[in-house]
This record gives sequence, C-alpha cells and structure tokens, in this order.
Amino acid sequence: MVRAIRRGHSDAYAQIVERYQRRLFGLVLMMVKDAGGAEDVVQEAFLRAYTHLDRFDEQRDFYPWLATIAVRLAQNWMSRRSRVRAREGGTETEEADAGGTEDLVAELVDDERGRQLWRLVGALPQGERMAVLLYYRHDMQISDIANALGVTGGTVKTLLFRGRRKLRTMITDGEAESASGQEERA
Amino acid sequence: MNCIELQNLVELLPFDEWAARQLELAERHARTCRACRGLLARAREWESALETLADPVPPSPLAPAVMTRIRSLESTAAPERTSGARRLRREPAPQTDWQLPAMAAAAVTGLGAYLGRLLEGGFALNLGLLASGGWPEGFDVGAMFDPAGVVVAAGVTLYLALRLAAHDEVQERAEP
Repeated sequence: MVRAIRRGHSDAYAQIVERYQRRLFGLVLMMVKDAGGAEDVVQEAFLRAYTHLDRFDEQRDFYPWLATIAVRLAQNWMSRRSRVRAREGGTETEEADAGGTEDLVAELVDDERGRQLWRLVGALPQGERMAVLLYYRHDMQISDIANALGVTGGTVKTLLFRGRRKLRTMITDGEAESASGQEERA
Repeated sequence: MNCIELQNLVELLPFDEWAARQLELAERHARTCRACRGLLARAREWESALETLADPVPPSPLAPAVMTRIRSLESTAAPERTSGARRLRREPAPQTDWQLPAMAAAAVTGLGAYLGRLLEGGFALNLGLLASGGWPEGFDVGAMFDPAGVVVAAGVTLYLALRLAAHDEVQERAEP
C-alpha cells in the first residue's frame, strides 16, 4: 500500500488512516489525557507520515514508524501545554498527569472490563505507561520503543518492569476488593 | 526451575521475552506446583487482556479530516511546500540554470580529452583525408578504440542525455 501511495495513489492513504486511527488515538490519548488534543496530534501524525513517506524504509513495519511520529508530536504537545500552564500560574505534576483517565475512557471505551483496564494503565506514571502501551498494545520491540521515547533500551526495560509490576499489583488488589465486596454482599 | 525462580521470571519479563528453554522449564515446574500454575495462568491472562484490549473510539472519524488536509496541502502549497509530495513520488529535483552549461562543459572536456589522445604524437586529424578513403599515415587507429577513452566519452554523453531528459520531464510537470 505504501508503494502505491509513493507512486501517486494518495487516496490509498485513507485506508492506512482507517486501519490505524483507533490504535494511534488510544496511544496519544493516554499520553496527552485530552480527547481534543489527541485528535489534533493524531491528525498531524498522519499528515507528517504522508509528507515524509520518502523517509520510510519499506523493509520495516509501517506502524512503529507512524507511532514514533505520533509519540514525538504528543511530547511536543505536552511541552506546549506545560508552558501555557506555567504561564498561567499552574503546575503539572506527575500525579496530576497520571490521573484523569476516568472520564476520558468512560465515553470512549465500549465494555466495562476494557474501561477498568484502561483506567489502570492510565494511572501509571507517564514513562511506564508509554512503555507498557507501546510494548503490549502496539507490538513494538524494545529498540523501537527506545527510539520512539528517545531513551535507551535499558531504560525501556526498567520502565516496562516497573509498569508491569504496578499493573499486576493494581489488578490483584482490584480482584481482592471485588472478592471481599461479593463476600460482604453475600 | 523452582517456585522462586519462576516468580522472579514472571515479575521480570513479559512472556514474549522468555527464551524457549525458560518457558519449557516453567511449564514443567507448574505441572507439579499448584501455586505456580495459578501464578502463570493469571500473568498470562492479564498480559493477554492488555494485548487484546479494545482501543478508545475517536470522537469523530479521522480519515476524512486527514485526507482533506492532504488534498489541500497538495493543491494549494507553494513549490517549496510541495517538496514532500515531490519526494513522495521520487521525482527528479529541478535543475538550476548553471547546471546545464556545467554539464555541457563537462561533456566537451571529456570528449576533448578523448580526441586529445587521438592526436598524440603530433598527428593532425584531417577529415578530408579520412573522407577520401584510407587512414592517413601515422594515424594510430588503435588509439581510437582505446577502451578507457571510449568508456569515458560514452559515459559523459549518456549522463548528459539522461539529465537533459530529466530536465524536460520536470519542466512538463511544473506546467499546470
């Protein structure tokens, strides 16, 4: 498909957008925590990928390349937002960033189990959240994740390790709470 | 593999990063240990749930908006801004005014060097003699077919022809 687009069939690009829009939107939403901002960033990422398609190596998978563009744009978007908030006298802490997923996913995810898992992922600190999402949800290798986040492979492994451990703890705690709630009701 | 080793492995690495041998040993241990069997099953379950989780739906479809922006970019952008689309189709870059004379000069120099080799030893090329039949005395016919000279001359001429053709193509595309 990329070859067809390179030959001038730009309409074929709509199929690429259709195929990846949800996946990319989910990723960016978990970064910027703002549905409107995520839409803007994802649109821009698709546009940048199109105009820089000559730089894409066809020997590699398309999605990690696209996701890397989206991650960098989302990082820029967050930097701009931080600057604006700083000018307005507010601050953006890691805790504040990790919260606020509740309302976002409530409207955008269909099933309750999915909403719960998205909330847990959204509660992770930014770096761990990105490492977990890119690894599990976006089929990216450690080296691709390192490239997208602009860190070393060792850092990605550490982020992934911490993120997985926290998620497992949260899931186990959630199951324990749910079980005790059922016992009380019984 | 014992219980501690299996727990450490589950904690340390996602399943996809396990070596085949590690997986084999863990499964062998889990067959005989109920606690580790449960641990493995739970870990697999949540990793799988994470992988198959449905993505959030964007508030509005993105494809129409993206394609509108692409078409707008392609139709209205200034020549400098259309470089992406041009690069996309791998078209040759437009040449500047000095390039053609420079290439012509290179071709003339290359051919001149070749002819210079023919004229080595004080021989003056006489086209009249050539036309009247027979090679003039002292003319080294072999030098005319010197492989190095022929390759240089043919290469320069071919390069010039290709660049001229590419230049015409770019000119045609640039026209509305």
